[in-house]
Amino acid sequence: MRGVIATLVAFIVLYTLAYTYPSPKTNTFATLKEERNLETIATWIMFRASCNDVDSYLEAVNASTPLPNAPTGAILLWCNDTPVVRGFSWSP
Amino acid sequence: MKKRKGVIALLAVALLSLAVMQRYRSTAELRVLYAGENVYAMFLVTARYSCARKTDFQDSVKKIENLTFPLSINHSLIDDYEDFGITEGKKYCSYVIFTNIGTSASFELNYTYRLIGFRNDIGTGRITRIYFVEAQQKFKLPQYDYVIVLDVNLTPNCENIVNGDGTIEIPLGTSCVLRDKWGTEILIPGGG
Repeated sequence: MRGVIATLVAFIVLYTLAYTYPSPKTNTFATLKEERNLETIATWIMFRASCNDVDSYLEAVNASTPLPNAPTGAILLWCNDTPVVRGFSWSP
Repeated sequence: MKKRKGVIALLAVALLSLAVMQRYRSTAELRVLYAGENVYAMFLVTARYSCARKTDFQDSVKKIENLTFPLSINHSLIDDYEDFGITEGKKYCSYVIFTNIGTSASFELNYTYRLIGFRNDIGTGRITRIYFVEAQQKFKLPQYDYVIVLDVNLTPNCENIVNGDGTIEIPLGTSCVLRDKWGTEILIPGGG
């Protein structure tokens, strides 16, 4: 009986630890979070930046030009009555 | 007796474990809700552009519809007026958009100025008018339950003294245009 309970307790404790342990971002859920980060950054830049100073804002959030194998976001600006899209890469 | 203690301990461990996992999951789920805010932001910066350039909002939205797909605007409520006088003036824009998925977002721009006095420079005999200027933009995204407020800097195109406390001094009899970096302008008339 004791052995069974000990096994159960060990299982529950280990399962909880495994469930909450910070793991490398490989699952779908992590991808969603990464997208959220990109979208939040894109929103922040879009609200504050104008056509002339967008580069300084991209620099401020450590964004780079789009890189292969890196999450990529896009922002929209209006320059001289034309919508302009700027892509950027960002990694935490 | 010993058996019951063991069962209680086991139950306690299981409950604690559930509590920890529940807490972990709820914080993680909250974050995912923010997905999509960049698309709303695209609509709202387009609203700001329409407000600045006085262009048709629907036409501008059409130009970006391949970016915002599948989200689109069902209808929008637009309020845009300006009234510039010597003693006070206002530029106001309000865009509330309703999307095809039943959410709504809004952009509000409120630039005001108010004459609060004159200053006579005894040395030069020059008289300036002192205005108190306020400029704010407000963004409301459906993902957040609060409004994002942006304090905006306006650049005057006339001879001026900008004080740190939100007031600006401009010469008597000269009109002055204050402009933000997105092109929205307010005009302080020169008067007679």
